[in-house]
Amino acid sequence: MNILIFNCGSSSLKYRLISIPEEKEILSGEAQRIGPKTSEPARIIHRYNDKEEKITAEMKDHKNAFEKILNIINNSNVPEPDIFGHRLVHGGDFFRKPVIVNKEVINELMLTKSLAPIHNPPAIELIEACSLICPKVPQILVFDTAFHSTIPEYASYYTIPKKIQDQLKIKKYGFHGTSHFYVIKEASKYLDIQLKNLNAVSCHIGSGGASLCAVKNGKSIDNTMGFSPLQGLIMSTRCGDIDPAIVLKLLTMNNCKVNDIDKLLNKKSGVLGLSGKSADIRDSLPAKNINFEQLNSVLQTYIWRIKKYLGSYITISWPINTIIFTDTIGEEVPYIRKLICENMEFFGVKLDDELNENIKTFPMDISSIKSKVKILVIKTNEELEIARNCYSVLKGKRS
Amino acid sequence: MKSMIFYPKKLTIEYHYLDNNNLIYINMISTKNYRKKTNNLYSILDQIFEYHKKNKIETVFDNILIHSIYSGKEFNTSIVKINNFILRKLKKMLYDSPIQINLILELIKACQKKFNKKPIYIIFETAFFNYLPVYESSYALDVNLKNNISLTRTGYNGLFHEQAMDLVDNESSKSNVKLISICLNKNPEITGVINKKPIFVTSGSTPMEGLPGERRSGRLDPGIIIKICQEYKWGPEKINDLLLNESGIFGLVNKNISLKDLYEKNDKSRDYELAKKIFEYQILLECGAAAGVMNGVDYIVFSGLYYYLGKLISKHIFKNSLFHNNNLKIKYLSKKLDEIIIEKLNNRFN
Repeated sequence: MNILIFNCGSSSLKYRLISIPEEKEILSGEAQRIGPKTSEPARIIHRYNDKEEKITAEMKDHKNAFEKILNIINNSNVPEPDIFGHRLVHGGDFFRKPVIVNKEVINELMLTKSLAPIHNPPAIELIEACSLICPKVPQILVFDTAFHSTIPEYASYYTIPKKIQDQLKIKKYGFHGTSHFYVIKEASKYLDIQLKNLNAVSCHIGSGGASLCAVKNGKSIDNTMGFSPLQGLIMSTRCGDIDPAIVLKLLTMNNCKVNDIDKLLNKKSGVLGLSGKSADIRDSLPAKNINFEQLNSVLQTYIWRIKKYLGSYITISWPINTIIFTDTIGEEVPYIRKLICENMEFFGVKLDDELNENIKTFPMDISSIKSKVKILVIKTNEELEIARNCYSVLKGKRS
Repeated sequence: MKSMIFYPKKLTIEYHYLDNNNLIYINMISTKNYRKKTNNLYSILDQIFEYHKKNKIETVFDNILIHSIYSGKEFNTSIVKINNFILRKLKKMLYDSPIQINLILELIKACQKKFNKKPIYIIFETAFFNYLPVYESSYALDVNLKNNISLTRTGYNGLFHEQAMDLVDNESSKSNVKLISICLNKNPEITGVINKKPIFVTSGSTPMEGLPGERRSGRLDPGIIIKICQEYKWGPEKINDLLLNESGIFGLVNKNISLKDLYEKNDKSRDYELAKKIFEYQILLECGAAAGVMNGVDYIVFSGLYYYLGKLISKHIFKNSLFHNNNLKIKYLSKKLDEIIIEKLNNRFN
């Protein structure tokens, strides 16, 4: 069975054709600059047979992008997709597990638009385009927030009036759930610990967004992101935790222009805000490894925030089996892993510097033999996780 | 030694008359009224102390102490004697904390006039936090904004934390003692202290951030404020009121109750139980965070108005936790703010 996975961004559309249950990637690609014209032309980067092709194509919306992608796939001499699998960043309280698309699902999905105004509307547009253009291909939706639906009430509530929380559907939803769940399952296999017995902290540290997830008995019990992806760690351009009074001050200073503040906190803060130069934390790394006190303040502040949350999440998931590093920074920057794990012996965490510097394969255990907690580096694969989810939904339906 | 301590707040000035540590008399001035009627704090003080005289309420004192939350970066010690140099420094702080500092300056002026030659001291809460490391005190916001608004994290219960630190320091022979100090006031606060220096604090650039309080929200996803603005079309003032006066425990149980009530009223309703769980969970998270950046903890000290609730809370949250070990000592500091202030004054004389 071939599943075409879509990962829809506000102006991009990533795709990957995966054959299941073999878990073999057939092709992949990304449509970029969808929507209004930008300084560079819209294009599709298509990867097939170890080759990468750049195709310029006008794509006014996600429906348009889907048509172009489908054409490219049809010309690639590969079997047609049997299923479309979609990644949805937000399922609100409506979706706690993957679902097959039908009219009712679409109606409920419409109600989640305001919860993820950047991501969900184009994803819905794409789902509708798929139904229209390929009505016979079933579609399955996998939600990032679903993995976090197990976060207990006391951790998902905010301390503002309940009435407002209920009216505006405010609660901690958590994000990056598909990635966290994928690496948790991989860790469970690697450590030979049943998922239901696994306690862990999963560190999804991307070059853009980042979140930590506390896992108890294989289930998410907390996530650093909250109602929105703004809360928590310092990210490339998102501020993470800030004093709510600062948001109010900024609103006053900007004559209550909410959209400007939204943009400021989402697009101009984080590492970019701190450094004033670059949104990529890798640009703040020193030329050689130095100790924490000697680091520049951007990197110090970035690491400090992660260490605070790591301490919190080890505490609530205690006793823990493993800390997992994943996504671009988590997988590729050993120095950041080192800084995070340094001086964590109280929690039984000790890194092996040599193993950390020489990752040869994924998953890799980089903990010292003295460490009571395993430190793993696992390459995330959200698309594969979505494909697996799609497959089990269909299998469940058939059996 | 007899002292008069003034606690200037947003709408009131509370004053406590003490004979050493014994509280003899307590009263309150409404600043709202004085501003409306006379705009002269001196005449209010005059009227009050005439009334005391008439009614034979003894308020003869040796010194005056004025409690200030905010110290700015100007003052690094928690107690200073007022003189012209200090007044000039205080005036410099007007820009950062106009309402509070203005009231303090007015109060000093009135006290100088009314109680001629009595020594006046000012006690700062935030001075304790002046050496918080930059990586703890910074927010990840546009560097250019820092020129326009105060964007530095600080703590607001420095006097309690300092006492907790002294308590541990007297007891432990270990150098580099790691302390988690939990101040259970109306707006609770946790700080992590290592080697007598705070390196972690839950409050933010204002007391709005941090642990949930009796009526304040505490930590919040910034996206929630944006959502409220967009959906309800509320302005910053209304949201400020929501987050400072209608949130926290009050927002969860929809009743005006104190932290003490929450724990001692024995109300088993779902709202009360959930509010307790939320509060305790936030404390556990912050203790974990403090331990995370200090690489452990030797002491946990509960202090503040509701220090005694620490026994129950620690029983709930530390049981079977990482903190449940023989090396950790949990202490309770029963001193009131008045006592701490008088002790500070005495230490200064010694």
